[in-house]
This record gives sequence, C-alpha cells and structure tokens, in this order.
Amino acid sequence: MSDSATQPILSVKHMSKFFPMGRGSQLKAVDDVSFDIMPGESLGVAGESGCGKSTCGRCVLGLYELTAGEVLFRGKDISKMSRAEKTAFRREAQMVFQDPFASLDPRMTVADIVGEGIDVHHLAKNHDERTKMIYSYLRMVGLNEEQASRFPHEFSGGQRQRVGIARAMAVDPSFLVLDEPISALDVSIQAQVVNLLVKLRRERDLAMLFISHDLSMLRYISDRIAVMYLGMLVEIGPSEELCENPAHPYTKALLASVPIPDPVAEAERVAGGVKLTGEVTSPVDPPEGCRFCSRCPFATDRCRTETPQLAEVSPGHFCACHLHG
Amino acid sequence: MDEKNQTTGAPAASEADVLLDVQDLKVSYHTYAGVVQSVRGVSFSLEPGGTLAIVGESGCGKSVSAKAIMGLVKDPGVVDPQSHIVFKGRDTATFTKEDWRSYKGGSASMIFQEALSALDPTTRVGKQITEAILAHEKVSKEEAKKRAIELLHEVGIPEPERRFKQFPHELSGGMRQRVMISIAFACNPELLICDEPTTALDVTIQDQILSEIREMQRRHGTAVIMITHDMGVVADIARDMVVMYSGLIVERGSVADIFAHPRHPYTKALLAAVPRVDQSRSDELAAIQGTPPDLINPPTGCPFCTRCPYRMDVCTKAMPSETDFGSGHRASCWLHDERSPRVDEVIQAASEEGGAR
Repeated sequence: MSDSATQPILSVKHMSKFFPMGRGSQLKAVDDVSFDIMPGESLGVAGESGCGKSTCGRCVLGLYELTAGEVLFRGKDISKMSRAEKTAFRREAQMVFQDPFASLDPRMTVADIVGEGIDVHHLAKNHDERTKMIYSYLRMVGLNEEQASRFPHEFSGGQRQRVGIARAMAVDPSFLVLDEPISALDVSIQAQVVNLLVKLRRERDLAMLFISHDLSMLRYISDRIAVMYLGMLVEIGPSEELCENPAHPYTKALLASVPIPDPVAEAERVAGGVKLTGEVTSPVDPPEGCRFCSRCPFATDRCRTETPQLAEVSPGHFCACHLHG
Repeated sequence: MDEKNQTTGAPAASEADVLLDVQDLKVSYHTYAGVVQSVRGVSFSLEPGGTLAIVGESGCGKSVSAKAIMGLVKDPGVVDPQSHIVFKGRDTATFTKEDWRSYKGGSASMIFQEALSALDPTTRVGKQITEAILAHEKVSKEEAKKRAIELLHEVGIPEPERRFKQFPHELSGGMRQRVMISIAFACNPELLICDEPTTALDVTIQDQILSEIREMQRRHGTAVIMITHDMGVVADIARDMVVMYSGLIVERGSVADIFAHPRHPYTKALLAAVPRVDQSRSDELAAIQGTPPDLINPPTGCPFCTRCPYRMDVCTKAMPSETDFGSGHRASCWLHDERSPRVDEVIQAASEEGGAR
C-alpha cells in the first residue's frame, strides 16, 4: 500500500449517472467524470443549475447507484464494500444539505439530531458521554448547551445550518460533501457559516467536496475548482490558477458573468468580456461532441462531432476543449 | 454630483424633478404574536429615469416598502396613515380606484423574484402580455398582439411568435423572467420596481437579465428601484442606493460614494462579508455576528447595536440622527456624531484589538 498522505481519500473514475426518461431516452446527469480528492483537500464544484453537480455529490456518497464507473474511498470501491466497511464509510463521509429547513427532522430536538449519528455508530459509551459529546459539537459550531433541547423551528436559517454541520461533524468524519450549504442564507450569515467551515477544515483536516454556483465563494474556500457543464467536467485546476487563467470558454464566460461588488470594476466587466448567449440545453439525450458547442463563440465542426478530452494546460490544471487539445 | 443630491436627498427641492417621493413610510403587520413593525419610517425620492438600489437582508423591510409603493400591502399589513407616497406630485393616499387602476401596471410596474408564481400558469404568456396592454390602453386586440410580440423580441426572446402561444411552464427560468419584463414594460411605465429579479437565476442568466433591464430602462427612460441583497447587482445597475436594516434606512448616497467610503458599520460589514471572484483573498470573511432584532419589540436605540463592533453606551439608548457627508451621502450612526470620539481612532483601536468583525 502506498503512503496514506499521497493516496487520495476519494477517487472518482469515469463516473456516470444516467436517469431513464422513458421511451429509451436518458438524462445524462453525470457523464464520464473523473477526479481525486486528497486528504484535507477542498474541491469546489461549480456550474449552472442542471449541470449535474448535486448528482455528482450524491453519487460519491453512494446515495445513487452508478450507471458506469467507480468511486473509490481510501482505495476501496464503495459499491463493493462489505457491510462493516460500508458502515465505516458512512461514518467517515458525511453530507451537509442546502436547505436547512427541509433537512432537519422537525419533530426531533437538536440534541437528538446531533446524537443520532453517535447512537448509530456507537461512539459514546454511556448516556453521560453522549450528552457531553453533543454539547461539545454544538459549542464547536457556535451554539450553546441550552439550545440542545430545542426544536429546529426555534432557530434561524444560519443556526439551523450550524445544526446541520454539527450533525455531520458528530461522527468525526474525514470527508464532507456540502451541497450548496450557504445559498439559502443571508450574506452576513453566509460569512459566519463559511468561516466556521474554514475553521473546522483547518482544525480537523477535513476533505471537502463543496458544491456551489457561487464562484467567488468557491475561489475563497476551495483548493481546487472543478467546472461542470451538462454532466461533463470541462475544467479542473487550482482555484487561483483557474480563476486567473481560465482555459475553457465556458469557465471564462462563467467568471465573466459574476457581478463584482465594486462600481468601477463592475463597469469594466459590463463593457468587456465574453458574454454568454443562449441557455443550457437539455441534458436529455445530449448530442455528440462538445456539450457546450451550441453556446460557444469558438465552436468549429470538430467540436460538433468529437467529444474533447481533459488535457493538461498548466501543472495540475486540466481543460476539455479542442482549443487546447 | 449635483443630480445625485436630488435623488437621495430626503425632501426634494422642486417637484418637477421628482418622480417618486416617499416620506416617513411606516408599515406594520398585525399578527397573533403582536404587531410587526416591518418598515419604521423610511424616506427617499427618485428622479425620472434614475436608478435606486435598496439593499438589505431578509426581513429588513425592503420588499414591504416596494409593496407599499405599489399599493400592494394587504391585510394584516397596514400602511401608517401619516406616511406619504407621492408619485408625480400626487399623494397615493388620495388616489381613487380609477387612479390606482392606471397607476398599477400602467405608470408603475413591478417585477417579482419568482416569475413562475407571478405568472398565471393556466394562461398563455402572450395573453398575459396583451391583457396588460388592453387593460391600460384603447387599442385593438390585433394591435396589442403585435405590440406583445415586439416586446418579447425586445427582451431577447427568440421566436417570439411561437413563445407567444406557450404556457409559463414551457419556458425556462430566464425566459419567464424575460416575459415578466415584457409585461412590466407593456405600457411604458415611468417607474419599475424590481424585487430581487435575478436571485433565483444562474449567474450567466442573471447577467443577461440585468443587461436586458438596463437596455429597456435606457430605451424607455424608466426610473428603476432595484431591490437586492447582492452588492454585485447594486454595483452593476444602480447609481444611487439606500441600505436598510430592521425597517430603517441606515445609509444612503451614490453607489460610487458608498462603495468607496461606507460610513455605517453595517454597510462596511456587508461589503466586507463577500469574497470577490476577481481577487484572491485569504483572510477571514467579515461575518456579522448575531441576527437582526425582533421587529415586534424593536430596540429603542440603534437597531444594529447588538451586532456592531463599535458599539457605545449611547447606541443602546437613543436612535442616531443622519449625518451628512456631502453630495447626498448620509448615514445614521452615533460614531459620526460630533460628540463622539474621533471615528478613525475608534475603528483603529477596534481593529487592533482583534479584527473588524
């Protein structure tokens, strides 16, 4: 076995997830996607709605059965794990959901929500230890002990998201999938939750798959960013490099459409830059070739027939585009 | 610089230059839990063709203010009778039923956040546009249809003739919002209120919709009130802005002035809370600790004081008055009162103590 520091904690190989749509058509939500996440690394997944980023997050946790490909967690295929291995995997890999209103059981107290994982995985020896653990996780996310006996509806959106994070953290995971964890929150509260996630990651060496449509936030929170378009991975690279030197026309357009909170820079952005026309086409029975070609200003005949493969454009920075092929 | 004065200054000098003048607007909602004072005395004005952004968090009263201007506050909501909303020199309180009819959707119209729930799901989009035209103007059905198709074309909808016959569910989110815009512009309004029109959309579509609104505004000379929580959208579209917090305006002025020199701690925090896509950043985001106050029992002092890093004793006891920084830039904060210690020293001390959080 190789050294655990150099071995990825999660390795996704040619992962595909198609949903049957009846009459033989297929919705290709995720199509032949591969990436690795190293221990303690944070990978951001960006893309427009319907690009398959959430499906991707669910697939790597084994919540969907794959159509093709495999997901390896610490080198083990998650679909071929034994019962004991699967239980261990379910403890080590946790998820934080987008909607803090829908993802917490309204009839359970916060203590029970956080304690459920501790019970399932028998992490506490007795009731006192369980209570102590629950309190410590609540404190960790900035809630206090008196709030443990309350119900989700008694909390604000930001506090609920903290409960969701405490629940995920309560089983001491090493990998978190965060599916748009801040998009339902107000700006000032977003910053609270993001700072908490950054702190947890630093303290516990958590690996993260951070799914978001907010590129500014992804640039801030993740080490690398993967950009998806219609189920395919079109570009992946270190966050700074990808935001400063985007290679794929789609990434360029995506970055150029984010309004900048500065009137001078924003006026420049509006005046120049690649503007994306049209909308995302349907992921049901997508055409051959590059999925982006119908909106791409640089599309050629080759783009319409041949699917581009990921190629390295600079160290660690890959792009699937014939312009760089 | 001079024109900015007129847009944001509270009472406007001459009536001819003012399209909309809101004076001491108060709106409250009577609920089982008590009376929620959503808007607690808001004044601003807007010149013809101007663009004003109203910024704030959920529950700060920005949408309720917009509803009040459009006369859409419904039971259990009550607009205080002392409030004045003056549109082109006429107080809306004196409007007759007929006046309201020509005002709503005629001279003033509104775009909502959720286009899917704002459009009628059982009516073809074309009919929803012609309905607006026929309600306000004496034109034939054919004429209205021609206008509607032109409007659809104008907001960037491909194949407008085909789209005209479709139902809202057959359109994408961006297309629906474009239909909303064409309904809003159907009768050449002088005032358009956009209530978070792009929040539910993807960034690439948001960009298209914003430029559509900008273009339509330029072409029709419409004044726009843009309600948003996104500072990027404010920088994009507005010339003037007001920042609302718990039912009050805490800062107002031109977008350029406020972004360059935010004077209220809340505005400062809002601007520091978001990372920028065009800049790298490694320091901690400036989160605003805590949550906004309960508006059933609003605090007597500054509403932001419980979350403010620069809080002084006086902040909890009394409301600060507005301080004028010139060219219409004003903020309501005790730090700028002449009796306060020098602002810069306080901020310096606080940031040395462990960060402006």
